[in-house]
Amino acid sequence: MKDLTWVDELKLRGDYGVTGNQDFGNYLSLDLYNGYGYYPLNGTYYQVWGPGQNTNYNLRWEKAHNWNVGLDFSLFHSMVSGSINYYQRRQQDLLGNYNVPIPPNIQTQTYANVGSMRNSGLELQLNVLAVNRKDFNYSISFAGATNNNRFVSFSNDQYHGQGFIDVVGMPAPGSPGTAQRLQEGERIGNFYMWKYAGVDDQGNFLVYDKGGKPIPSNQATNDDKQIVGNGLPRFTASLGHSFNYKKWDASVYFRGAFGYDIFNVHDFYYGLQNVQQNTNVLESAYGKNAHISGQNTLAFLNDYFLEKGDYVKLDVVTIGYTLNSKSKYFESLRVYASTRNLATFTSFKGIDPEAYPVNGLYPGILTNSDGGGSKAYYPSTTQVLFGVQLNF
Amino acid sequence: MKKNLFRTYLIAGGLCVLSAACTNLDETLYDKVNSSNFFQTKDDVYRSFLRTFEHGYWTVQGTTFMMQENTGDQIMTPNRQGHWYDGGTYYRLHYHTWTPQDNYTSDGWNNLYQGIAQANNSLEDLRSLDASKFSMTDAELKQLIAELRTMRCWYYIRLFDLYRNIELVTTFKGETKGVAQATPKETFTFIETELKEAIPDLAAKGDPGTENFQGRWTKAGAGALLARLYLNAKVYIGEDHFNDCAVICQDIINNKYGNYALAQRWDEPFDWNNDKSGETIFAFPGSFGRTHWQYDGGMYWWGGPYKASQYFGFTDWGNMNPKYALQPGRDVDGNEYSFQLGKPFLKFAKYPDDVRLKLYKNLGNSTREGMFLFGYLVYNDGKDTVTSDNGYTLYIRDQVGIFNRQVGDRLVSYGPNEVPSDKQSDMTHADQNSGLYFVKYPFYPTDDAHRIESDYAEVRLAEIYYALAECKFRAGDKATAATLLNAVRQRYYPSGSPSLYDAGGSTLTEQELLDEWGREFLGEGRRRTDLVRFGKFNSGTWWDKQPDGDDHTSIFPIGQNVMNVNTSPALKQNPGYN
Repeated sequence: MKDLTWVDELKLRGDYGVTGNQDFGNYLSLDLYNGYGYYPLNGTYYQVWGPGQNTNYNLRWEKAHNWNVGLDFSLFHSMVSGSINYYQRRQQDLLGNYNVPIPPNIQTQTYANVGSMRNSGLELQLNVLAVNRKDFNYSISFAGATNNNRFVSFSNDQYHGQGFIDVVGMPAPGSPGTAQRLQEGERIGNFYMWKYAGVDDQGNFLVYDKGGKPIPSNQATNDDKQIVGNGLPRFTASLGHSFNYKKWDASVYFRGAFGYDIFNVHDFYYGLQNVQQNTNVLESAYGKNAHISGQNTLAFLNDYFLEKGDYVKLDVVTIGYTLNSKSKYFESLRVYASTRNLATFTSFKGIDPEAYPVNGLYPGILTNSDGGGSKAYYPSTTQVLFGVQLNF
Repeated sequence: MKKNLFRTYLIAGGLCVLSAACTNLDETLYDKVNSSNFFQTKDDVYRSFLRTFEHGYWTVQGTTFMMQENTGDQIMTPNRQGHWYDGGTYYRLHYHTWTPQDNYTSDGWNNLYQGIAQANNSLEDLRSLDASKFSMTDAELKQLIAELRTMRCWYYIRLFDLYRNIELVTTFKGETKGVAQATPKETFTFIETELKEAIPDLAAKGDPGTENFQGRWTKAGAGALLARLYLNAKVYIGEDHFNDCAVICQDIINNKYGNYALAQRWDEPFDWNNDKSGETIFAFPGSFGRTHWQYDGGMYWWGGPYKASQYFGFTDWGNMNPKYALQPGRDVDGNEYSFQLGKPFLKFAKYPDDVRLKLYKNLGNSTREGMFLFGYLVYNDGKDTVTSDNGYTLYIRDQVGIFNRQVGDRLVSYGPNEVPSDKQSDMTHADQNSGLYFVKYPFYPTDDAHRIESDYAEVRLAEIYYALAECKFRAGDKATAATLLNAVRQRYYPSGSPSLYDAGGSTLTEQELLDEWGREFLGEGRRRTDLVRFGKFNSGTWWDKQPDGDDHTSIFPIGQNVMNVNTSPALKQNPGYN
C-alpha cells in the first residue's frame, strides 16, 4: 500500500445495530372498556360502554436491524474524495394497526407486531477539486442515492394472510377510492388503479379490464384495477459546482429525482370539463384533456393522471465579490446575489414536482397527516437574495 | 441522609437492569377501565348491556341500507351531472356488478359482526355476574340476557340474508380465531333455537316494568324476527316454512305476546311520538339531542334536494343531499315505462285517493301531510322555490334525464310541459330535477319542539300483517290475504274506497302483492329481501336494469377486507365471486 502514493486515505467501514421504537401509547394490549354513545333504559339515557380495542397480550418490542458497509476515500492529494455506502435496514415486528378479522375480533384493526419492511440503497458521494490554482478554484460535488423500500411481509404467526393494504383514500368530491397499494414483496409507492385505454364516443373513460380488453369505465369493476406505476424514485442526485476566481466566488447547485411517477392530483380534480357542473376548471380541461368530455368522468381513478415525475432543479446560483477592508472595524466585506429554486426542468404538467413526497410510505402523491389523499400543498417560490456580509 | 437515598436509587436502578422488572412489560391501569374492574354498580350492568343496542341503531343506515335499497327496483343514486358518480359505486349496486373489492361488501359484514361481538362480550359479562351484588333480581338479569340473544339474532338474520354462508360465534373474550362457516341449515336452526329460547325470558309489552320500554326487545319483537326467518326460509335453506310464519304472525296479531294495534293515522308509525304508537314492536329511540340515525346522511337526510331543508324550515344541519331518490316511472317524453317492477311513485298513484300521494308539507305543531317531494317546492310564503345547488329552480319529476339547460349565463329547468331533446335516461345521465323523493320520517321545522324526535321503527305490526297475508296468499287463501292487507291499508284511503282490495282478493296477484310490500315498506331497508323472495331480484327488469346473467348476486360476496384477513380457518367465498 505504501507504494500507492495516489491514495491519501482509504477506509473500509461497516456497522450493525438493532434498535427499538417507543413511539406508541399505553395499555394497547389490554381489554379496555371505552364509553360510546347514549341509549335509554327505563327512561334514563346511559352512556354505553364496551370493548374499545382488540386485545393483544403478545405485544412486544419492534426491532430494526441495520447494517451498512462503506468505503471512504481520498485520492490524488485530496483532489478526489468521497464515499460509497450500502445500507440495509430490516424492520421486524413492526408495530402498527393491522387488519384482523371480525369475528373473533371486535375492531377491524389490532395493534400488533406484524410487518417487516426492508429498505436498502446505495449512496455515493464524490468531491472533485477539478482546478486548484492560486487565483482559480473549481470544485464539483456529487451525491446520488438509490432507494429500494419493500414491504416484505404483513404477517406473523398470529396475523397473517393479508397480502396487501390499499392506502391513500382520495378525498371528495365523489369517493374515488384508494390510489396506492402496499403489497408484500413489492416496492412501496405502487399506484393501484384502473388503466386508461382512451375515451368512448361520449368522451367517457375507457379502461383495460383484467384481461387487457378496453371496456367503458362504468362497466369497470374493482377487479380490473392494476399496478400502473410507482411513486418512489429509483434515483435521487445532486450536483454542485463552486468557483473562486480572485475575489469572485460563484456556485451552482442542481438536484433531481428520477425514475418515478406522480399522480397529478389537480388535473384529476380540476382538469376535466365535467368534473362538476358550473365549477372552475384548469385550462387543461379544454387543452390536453379536451377529449375527456363525458359526464361520467369525475373521481374516476385511472393512470391517465399519472405522469413521469422526473425533474432536475437548478436550485442555488450564487455569485459574490469580496473586498478586503482597510477599516479597523471589520476584516472583509462580501457582496453577493443568490437564488433559491431558480428553474425546474421536468415533463410533469402539474405543480412543482418537488411538492410531491419522494419518501415515506406514500411517495408520488399528496397526502395529509392521516395518510389520506390530499389536494393541498405549499406552493414553491423562487427566491432571489441580495446581501452584504461583513466579517469582523 | 439524602445522599444515601440517592445511592439507594442508583443501586436499585442497577439491579433493575439485571432483574425481570425491566423486561416485564405488564401495565397497571390508572386512568382506564377494563373488563375486570368495570362492573361496580347496576348502572354499569346497563351500560354494558346497552352497548350493542347503541351500535345496532347505527347499522340501520349507511352500508346495509345501500345494500338493501340501491340494489332494488325502487331507489336510485344516479350520477347527477357529476354529483354522486363516486367512481361508479352506485352503478355497480344498481347493475348488480359488485365484486369483493367494493368496500360495502366488507363493511356490511364487519358492521354487523361488531354488533355480535359486543353482544357476545356483554353476554359473557352478564352471565358471570351475581345479580344480588348489583341489587338486581335473577329474573331481571335473565331478561337482559334474553334481550342480548335476541339482539344477536337480529344481526345474524341480516348477515344470513346478505351473505348466507356465515360464521356462528357465541363467545368473544380471549378468542383469537374465527370459526368455520356454518351451513345455511345450521344457521337457520341456530337463529330459530336462540329466538325460541329467548322468548320465555323476554318481557311482553304491558308486563310490569315495561312502561318505559322504548328500544328494548320484547316477546313480540323476537317473534317478529322468527317470522322474518320463516317467511324467507325457502330462499335461505330451500325449505318452505310459511306455516310456521303464519302461526307466529297470528299469535302476535292475536296479542298473545302483548297488546299491539295498527295505527289509524298513516304517518303515526313514523311520527315524533311513534314510541307510543300501538304499531311499534321494536324501534330504536331517536332524539334531536342524542342519536337519530335514520335522519343521518346514510339514510333519509340524504334523501332530498340540496336545498330541501329550507323547504322544511329545518335549518339546524345545513343542506340535504340528493343521494337517495325514487327510480322514475316515466321516460323523458313522459311515457310510462312498460316493465312491471319499479316505478315506485306510479305504484302509489295507481290508487289515486291515497293520502300519502300529497306533496309533503309541514302543517305546524308537529304535524305534516303527504309523503313525497315533487314539482316546484315553494316556501317562504310563496316567495322562494327550492333550487339546485348551482342555482336552477327545481321542477322535480318522475323521470330521469337532463332537465336543465344554459340560457344566457344562467341554468334554467325545463317547465312541466317542456320536453328536452336529449332522451337519454339512465344511471349515468341525471340532473337534480330527476326522480321524486319520499319523506316518511317528518322533518319538522327548527322551531318545532319535536323535530327529529321519531324513533326508527325497525319492526312494526304492519309487517306482521303483511307477512301473514303473504303466507295466506301462498296457501291460496286470497280472501284472508286481502282482509289482512286492507286492515293496514284502510288508513290510506277513504272508507269504502275502491282502492281497497275486494273481499275475495280477486285483484291480488303476486305482482300486486310485491307492489304492496313496496308501497308499505318503501325505503325501510328491506326491498332486496322481498325481491329475492319473489324471485325477481335477478330475473326482473326495471329502470336501467336488465336481468342478471345468473342469480349468484342474490347474495353478496364476502368482501376482500374480510377475506384477506380470514385465513385460519379460511373463509370460502360465495359462489360466482371467484
